[in-house]
Amino acid sequence: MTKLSTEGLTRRFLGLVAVNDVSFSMAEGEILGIIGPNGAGKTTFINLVSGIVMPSAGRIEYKGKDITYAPAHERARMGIARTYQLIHPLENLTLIENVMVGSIFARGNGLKEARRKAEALCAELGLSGLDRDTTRLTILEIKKMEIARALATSPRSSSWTRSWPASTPTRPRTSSRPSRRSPWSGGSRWASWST
Amino acid sequence: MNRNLSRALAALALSAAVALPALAGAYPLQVARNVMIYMALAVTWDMLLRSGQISFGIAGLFGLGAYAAVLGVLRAGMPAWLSIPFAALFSGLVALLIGFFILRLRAMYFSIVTLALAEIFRIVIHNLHDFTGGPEGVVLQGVIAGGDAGKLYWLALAGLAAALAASWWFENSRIHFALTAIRNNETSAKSSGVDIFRWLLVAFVVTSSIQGLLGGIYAHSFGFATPESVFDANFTLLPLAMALLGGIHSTVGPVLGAVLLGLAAEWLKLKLPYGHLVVYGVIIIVVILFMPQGLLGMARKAARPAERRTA
Repeated sequence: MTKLSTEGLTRRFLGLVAVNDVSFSMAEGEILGIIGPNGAGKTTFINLVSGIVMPSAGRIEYKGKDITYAPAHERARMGIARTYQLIHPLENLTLIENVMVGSIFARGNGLKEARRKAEALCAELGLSGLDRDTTRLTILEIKKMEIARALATSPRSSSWTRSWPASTPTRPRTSSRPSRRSPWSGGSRWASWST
Repeated sequence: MNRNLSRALAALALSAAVALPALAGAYPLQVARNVMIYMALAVTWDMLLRSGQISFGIAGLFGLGAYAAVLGVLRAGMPAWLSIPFAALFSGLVALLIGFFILRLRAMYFSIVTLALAEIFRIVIHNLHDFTGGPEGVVLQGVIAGGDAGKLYWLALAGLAAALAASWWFENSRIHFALTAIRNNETSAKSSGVDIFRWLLVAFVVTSSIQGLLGGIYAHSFGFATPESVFDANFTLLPLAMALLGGIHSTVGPVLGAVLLGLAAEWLKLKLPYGHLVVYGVIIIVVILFMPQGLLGMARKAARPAERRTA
């Protein structure tokens, strides 16, 4: 059954057509990847689906609902989670608080419940030292923290954009892909890579 | 240890605030009242700042509250005690209406619009001669509580308590997470489910209504309101300087800054009239250039190397 689909999705930035007439569909439990060279429009496409950028034309449907112009925070609550290619830590919150944000606002959890969930997710992803400032984390820890924050929204569809060379020029490319187990079960996801 | 220390300091400050009317005469009480009003304004300014929005409109909402309280008594026949919460309600409602439009603006644009709105409120009140008394202002028959210095002190302390309680609530609830996320990165906040506009509106309305409440308390303490007295730019600039000096993004910072600057200003007023404004200007410049995190930030920085060693 189709869970997420787009129809003729287009986004123009002035004269530049970043995403041109993309029709796409994803079923429950499916794992998809979008691959393309720099500037192909992968990130813009994900921005469109997650509501960070609004489309110039076309339609996005999620669980049978038209979400073409739904605001990003509503999509997060419906179960569309994402992380970013470049790191976006919330700098004045600690590691654990960063993760808590996801379940507080997307799931409406109380602070205690959110902390408990965040601790479980961090353990799952192998994050420790949870009360540290984000300024004391390594790039890899920040990446994991952001994945944990996205997972804390209890997504039904998730996407993560990864481009190690672009975001971390001096770091080795090794990264542990988060375990396929529990937190994801039941959802669908896609990832997009560049180079 | 740190927590015990701050609890002890809070307890000390509270007992000093409660004991003061029994120990001090009318003049120190009047000074304390002024400092408390500015302190509360500094705290509310900081509360909105935690979301990254810099408001220059404190005087506007403060002045509106002052007029709402005085006119509530004169034109609507409210008892004085009721007109003070009415002032809070009125400023809060105005903030809700204008917030709906201006909270879509960011950074400099938001700041400038708040500054302009404060000026517009002043001009409107200045020109609604028949209703507001125009440039001469409005005078009440009598000051609230008969002008008793002790009672006026308690009234100002209650206003401060409202600001501190709200600030504590902002720091210890989901609002803290919402505002900090918005300040750091709106994109991350949105994709984590934070309804940015709604939380900004909550913060703006709550801080504005407390500013209105303080305006009401201020106007009743003197028994009159004129456009020049209650929309004075000082009500915007001094709280801002206090919060910057003490340390932004906290409750303690603005409180600390207000005690230092408030007392310094009072002392300077006696030494050289209006000289305190020069000193304020210099302090703002020095703080912004050399200690952007304020006194509290410096204290934290000093404490940090020790932390790292033990970790």
